[in-house]
Order: sequence, then C-alpha cells, then structure tokens
Amino acid sequence: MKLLPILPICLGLFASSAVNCQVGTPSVGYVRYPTDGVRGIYGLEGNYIVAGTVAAEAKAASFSEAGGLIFSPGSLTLADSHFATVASTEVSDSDAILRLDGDLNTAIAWLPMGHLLVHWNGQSFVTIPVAEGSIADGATSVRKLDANTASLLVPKPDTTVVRYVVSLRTGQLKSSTTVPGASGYAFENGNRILCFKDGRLSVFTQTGETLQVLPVAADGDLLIEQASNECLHLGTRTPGEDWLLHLGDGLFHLYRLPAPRRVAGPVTESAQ
Amino acid sequence: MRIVALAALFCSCLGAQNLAFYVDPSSGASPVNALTPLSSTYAFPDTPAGAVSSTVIRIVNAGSAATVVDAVYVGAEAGSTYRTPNFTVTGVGLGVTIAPGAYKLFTFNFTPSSTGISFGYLQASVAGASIPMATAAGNGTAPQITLSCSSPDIVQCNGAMLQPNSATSINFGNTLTTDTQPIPFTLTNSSISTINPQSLLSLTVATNNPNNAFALSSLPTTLGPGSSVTFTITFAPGTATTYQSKLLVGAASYSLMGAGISSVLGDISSLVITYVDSTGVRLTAQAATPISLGQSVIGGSGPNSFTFSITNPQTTISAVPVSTLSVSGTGFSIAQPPSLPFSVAPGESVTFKVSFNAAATGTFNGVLSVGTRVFALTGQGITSPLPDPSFSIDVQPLINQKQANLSIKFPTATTVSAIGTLTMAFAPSIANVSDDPAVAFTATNGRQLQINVANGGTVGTYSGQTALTFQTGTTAGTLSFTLAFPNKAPYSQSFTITPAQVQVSSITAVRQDPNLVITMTGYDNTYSLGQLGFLFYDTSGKPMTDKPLAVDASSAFKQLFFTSNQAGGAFSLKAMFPVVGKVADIGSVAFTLTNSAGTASQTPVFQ
Repeated sequence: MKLLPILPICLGLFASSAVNCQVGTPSVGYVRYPTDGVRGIYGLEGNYIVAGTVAAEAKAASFSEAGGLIFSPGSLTLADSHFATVASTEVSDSDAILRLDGDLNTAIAWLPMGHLLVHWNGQSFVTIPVAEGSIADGATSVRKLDANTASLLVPKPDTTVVRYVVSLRTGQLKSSTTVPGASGYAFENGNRILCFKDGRLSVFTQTGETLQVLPVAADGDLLIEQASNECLHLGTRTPGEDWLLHLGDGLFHLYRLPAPRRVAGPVTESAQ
Repeated sequence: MRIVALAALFCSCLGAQNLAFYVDPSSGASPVNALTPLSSTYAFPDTPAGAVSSTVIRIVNAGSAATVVDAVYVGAEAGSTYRTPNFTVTGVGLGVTIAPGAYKLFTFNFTPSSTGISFGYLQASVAGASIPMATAAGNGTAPQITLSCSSPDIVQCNGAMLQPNSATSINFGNTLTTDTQPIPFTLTNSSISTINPQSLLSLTVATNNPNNAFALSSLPTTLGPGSSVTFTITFAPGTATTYQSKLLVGAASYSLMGAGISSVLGDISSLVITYVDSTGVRLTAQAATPISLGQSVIGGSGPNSFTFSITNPQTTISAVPVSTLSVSGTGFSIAQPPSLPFSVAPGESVTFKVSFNAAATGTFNGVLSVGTRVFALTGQGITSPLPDPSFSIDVQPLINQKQANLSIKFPTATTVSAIGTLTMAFAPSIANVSDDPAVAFTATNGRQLQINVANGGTVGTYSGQTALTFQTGTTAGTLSFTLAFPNKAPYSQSFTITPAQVQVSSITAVRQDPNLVITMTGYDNTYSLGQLGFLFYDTSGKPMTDKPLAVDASSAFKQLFFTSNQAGGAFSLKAMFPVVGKVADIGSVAFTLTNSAGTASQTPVFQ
C-alpha cells in the first residue's frame, strides 16, 4: 500500500526528491504445522494471527525473508518471498533437515539416508555426497556457513553434541568438534547453539557459554525450524505445542504460537 | 377320562416332587449350592407381638418340566389350609409358574399377634395337592412397637393391633379424585426406649415415580416409652385407578390400597393432570404428594420448568369446563396458560408450564389450582457446590501485544468435580471496529476453553494447565472472561486495555544509496494513526532541517485498519527517502507517530 502523493523533503544541502511510504500487515514468518500444513503468521511478537495454508504436505521447511525451502517426500523446492517456485529437485530420501536463514543462497538440506548435502548455489541445486561414516546418524541441525562449507549438529548417545563442518566442494569432513556445554536436541543459529533437554531450552555460544535458559513445556520431541530471519518455530507433533522464538536485542524471546483455527477465520493469506 | 386325570395328577405330583426349598438370606444373589435347604422345622427368633421376623425362601424347580405353584400359605395345622394370623407369606402370587432350573422367592413372616409360642405349617399347593415345606415355630414376646387404625369403613381398622407383612391390604376404598380419604393411625411405643417416628415411618414410592396417592401426616421426632401418637394417612387419588403403597414401620410393612374414581359424565374430577419432569418422564399429579420442581441454583442458568397437561379421558362423556388455573407461591410461576375459561373435550388436552426459580436458599412451597383440584408444589433453592471462582491475570494493567496468563482460583476446595466453559469476549473501544483476530487463547486459537475442576481442587485447569495463556491483540477495548458451570451462576470479569500511543516493536534505519529507508513494525491500538514526522540529523547530531518533515499517512492507515484489516492495530511501515547527495552524511532520524492518544517517537541511527 503506497502513500500518495509523493512528498518532497529537504535535507539541508541535500536535494530531496520524494518520500515513499508503504504500510501493511506485518508478517512474522511461515510455520510448518505437523498436521496443518505451512501457514503464514501475521502480527507482532507475542501477538500472532495464523493465516491459511500455503503448502499442504511439507515434511520439513525453513523460511527467511528471501523465501522458503520446502521438503516433501520426493522433492525439495526453493520458493521466493512470494511463494513462487525458484527451483525444485527430486530427492529419494524420506526425511530431510533443511535450512534457509538468509538469502536464497543459504538454502541447504541434509538427506540422512543418502548422506547427501543439497544446497542452492544461486543457479541450481548442487548435491554433494558426504563420505559414509564421517558424520554420525541423528543430525538435528544443518546450516550453510558460506558458499563452500556447511555445519551439522549431531547429538550423541552420551548426550554431548558434535558439530561437523563439511566442505561443500568435496563433501569431505573438515572438522568435528564437541560443542562445549551442549546436550540434547541441538540447533545452530548464527553464532549460537540452542539445546533442548528436560523441558529447558538453553542458548549457548559456540564456546559453551550459557546465555539463556528458557522453559519449554513440550511433552514430546521438540523440533526447531526457521520461520523467518529472526524467528524460529519450536514444535512437537502434539497440536497446541508450538512456540516462536524471536531474536531481539541480543536475547531470545519465547512465545506460545496458537494452533491453526479449525474453521475458516477472518484472516486470508497474502505474501510477505 | 379317569386314566387321563390320573396321568395328570401323576405328572403334577412328579412336578411337585421336583421342587426344592432353601433358606435364601441373599434374596436370590447366591447360587443354589451356597444355600441351606429348608429343614422340616424352622424356628423364628423371638419376636414382639405386632412386629415381624422374616426369612426369604427360594423355591427351585429342579425338574425338567415347568411347575405351577398355585399358592404358598401357612396353615394353622399340618395339612390345613386354615390360615394362622401369626404367620404370613408375602412376595409370591397365586399360580406362579416356575420353569425348569428356575426359582421363585417369597418371604415367610412370623407376625405374632400375642405373646407365647405359635406354630405355623408352611405349605405349597401344586395341582391341588398340598406339599409340606416346613413347620415353623416362633415365640411372641411382649409388644414393642405396634400400630392400629380406626375407621368404620375398613375391616382391619378396628383399633386392634395391625398385623404387619400381611397379604391383606388396608383398603381405603373408592375415593373421588376431587376428594380425600383420611384414616387415623396410632403408633404405640411399648418398648423401654424412646423412638423417632419420623425416621421409623415412611410410605413406599415407586422408584420411577415419586408421586404417591397416599400421604403421611406430620410425625413427632420422639415417642417415649409407653406413649402413643396418632397420625393420619390420607388417600387422595390423582386419577381413576387403583393405587397401592406400603406403610413401613421399621422392618414391619403394612399394605395400603385405594381406588380413585371420577365422574364418567364429565366434571372436574374427570380430568387427569400430568406433567413431564426434568428427566422427560410423564407423571400423574397426585394431590397427596407435593410436586417437586427440584433444586433451583440461585443465579443459575434458568428456572426449572415442567410442562403440565390437563387431559379429559376419552371415556368421559362430556367436555369439562375449567374456570380457574393458577399457581401461587414464592418462586413459582405459570407460563403459556390457556385462556380462561377453557374447556377440555373428551380425548383432548391443554398444556401449560409451571416454573420454579429460587431467589434464596431453602424450601419453597406453592400451589397449583386446576378448578377445584389443588396440587401442592415444592422446590428447593440451593447454592452451587462450587464456590465462586475468581480470575487473576499476570499482566496488570492489561496492555496489548502480550501473551498473558489467566488463572482460575476457588477460595475453598471444591466438594465436587466439575467441567465448565471459559469464554473470552473482546469489545473494541473504537467505533466501527468489532473485533481483533489476534485475541485468542493460544492453546486452541479460539475463545473458549473447557475448564476442569477436580474434586477437592482449588483451581481450574485446561489440559492440566493452570496458566491459561491468551493474546491481548493490538486494539484498545475490553476483554471479558466468563466461566460457566452447569447449575451455577456464570462468573465474569472484564479487563480494560486503554488507548495508548503508537507502540514500536522493531525499527531499522538503513542507508541504501541513494535512498534512506526506515522500516518498522508496531501497533496503534486506537486505529487513528495518521501524522508521521521525520527530522533528520547529520552524523554529528545536528538537525538538517528546521522542522520535521510532516507526512500525513491517515488515508493509508485508515485503509489498512478499516478496509483490509488482518491483524488488528498491528502494522508495518516502510518509508523510503530518495536523496541527492551523500547519504553517508545522514546519521539518524527522529521519527514521530501521532495518534489520538499522543505522539510516540523513535530515533534510529542509520546503518
């Protein structure tokens, strides 16, 4: 929605031309509900409106302001911010861990059965086989660190968390380190590691310093997916157990995310 | 023919021989092999005259053919059908057929009419043959509690001690439905202890029909040794039919019966007044028994209402005129009555409702009058067993863009478990705005929750949670919570969210040469945001213009809030300023947003 007429401004010595204002409905991001498809979330922190379904059968998804990476059995799809398909590739794995946390070039998927990393290089999806045995089973987080490297987090049976850095050129393991202090389900977000264990979500630095501990009353196994650049979706398979974690002023803020309404509400879908 | 008769007799005797008799203290609950066979002699315990000792006997057909037991009786002598007044048999009818393997129960009573030893000969009559079952003996002791009645119309009511558990009823005779037949009874306490007649005496009622055509007058709570009290049993039939009941005096039982009669030609006595109770059962109104409209919870969900019908039976010859129809008594009212006077033709009915709504606790009495037919009404005003709840919210005062927690507390532990409904309603304080879609409980994204209260609990829970999280939206207004339980006045509490200046959730200022871009999200809970102000500063902090650049964005916000509203008062704003010159020299901007509640300002630094 554009504000008209165009207004001239004068900035001292700087010649001004016009101001262009747009007002609209704020978007929080996109969330994949296990049984209700992918939904747009409107509103503000702690004040969410769950919109209609934009993708019905996603098994994993990750969203940023630039678009979304969506995995459905048989295919991996990259969409732009208007949900228009940028590219799609066939995958044979039945499970995937995804990440898109910035521009579309941050799109990456870990396919655990095939031991494959699939990432978007700006032109096409690139599939990189990772040497069997180099990465333990059970990865819970994947992230593209730059054009040439990716990281994965794997919780071990002894509850420690190992961070693997893999070359996206060769598929070779570049490093394998235990994340200090981390245990349980792990998720990498920027330079922070999030760990969920025993009803608590702990935020660590890469060096193991505990920054925050947040109670999360989840009954089942927690899963974290990117909802937007600054927002993560935490959820279980139990309806009603969804949260949004916002990163603001250096601290994470956790809010309950309402479940989708079962009947058509007043909200209709629109792009971010 | 003789051969056939002999054969029939032979067969009958065979059937009789297959009957077995047992003492059955389980009243049919135990298997037959757990019972003691009835011996040829049976001794009753010592029993006061006028009282009763009883034992249950099971007759089992152990044969392979059905057997008809014509009668079970107690003779004064062996083989005699002359009945003794000291023993009775109850609970078995005449001509009872017992299938192979089946059984029948009856009660064998020792009811001494005087002191001393009595003998009775318990016998069964099968196919005309008397089968001895047992010889019973009992010792009648001094009377303890006895009953007598006085009426010239009733055989037993001659002032003598009444025999309890008699197969012969005390017959009140024929009585018009507009009439009553009161019979005085006298209860005598010959024991050495004080008794409580109120708890000792009662009239039986059918389990599915609380209405009795017999009514017991008031009784004292104490009756001392050697004392007597006279009370009345009144027969007041509601319709022309035969009624039966029992007067219980402790373990002793006295059968009552009476016949209601009415005019066949057609008058007020012909009418049958029925009603449908709260369980949907249609019952006949009896003048002898107050019609209970049940318990009304003070401030509850509404009155208790019964639908009454006045029916003129098909068998009546003429229509019956009714000139008055009224209900009196505090808390009682009549609804949808027919216009007076009215007439009820044979086979037809008129209906109306009687309601009871208590304004206070206690028992309330009323009267329903249908012409000269009068029926007592009763009802109880009660308070809910659930104490009054209270709400508390962890955000005070309540403001927008919050996920607040509502708690439901009871001041005392509840004595019942209950399931209620918590409803949230939102009334915006902005004209032409009806709702805010973000206002919802997060658990369901709806505005209702089913609330559980455990017996003995002091809190209400949803899915085990005591903190009920809800979103407050981004619109000024009033949030109201209402908790409703069945049969309890709903409890409501409202919380006001006042109009506020624009709240900024996030803001960034970015140099995108040759543009300056300011992006923000926030909310205006007044929906009146219009004036924006931008005052730019250089990197040294000096204003670059004398006064802020004013932008009137009223129409854009008006369209967002009132035409295409998807998120209440929440909005996003992106302002882009094309600049000629060095954008790097611009350091920050003082950004103001003005709504009806005031002006909010932010001063982001350009990145």
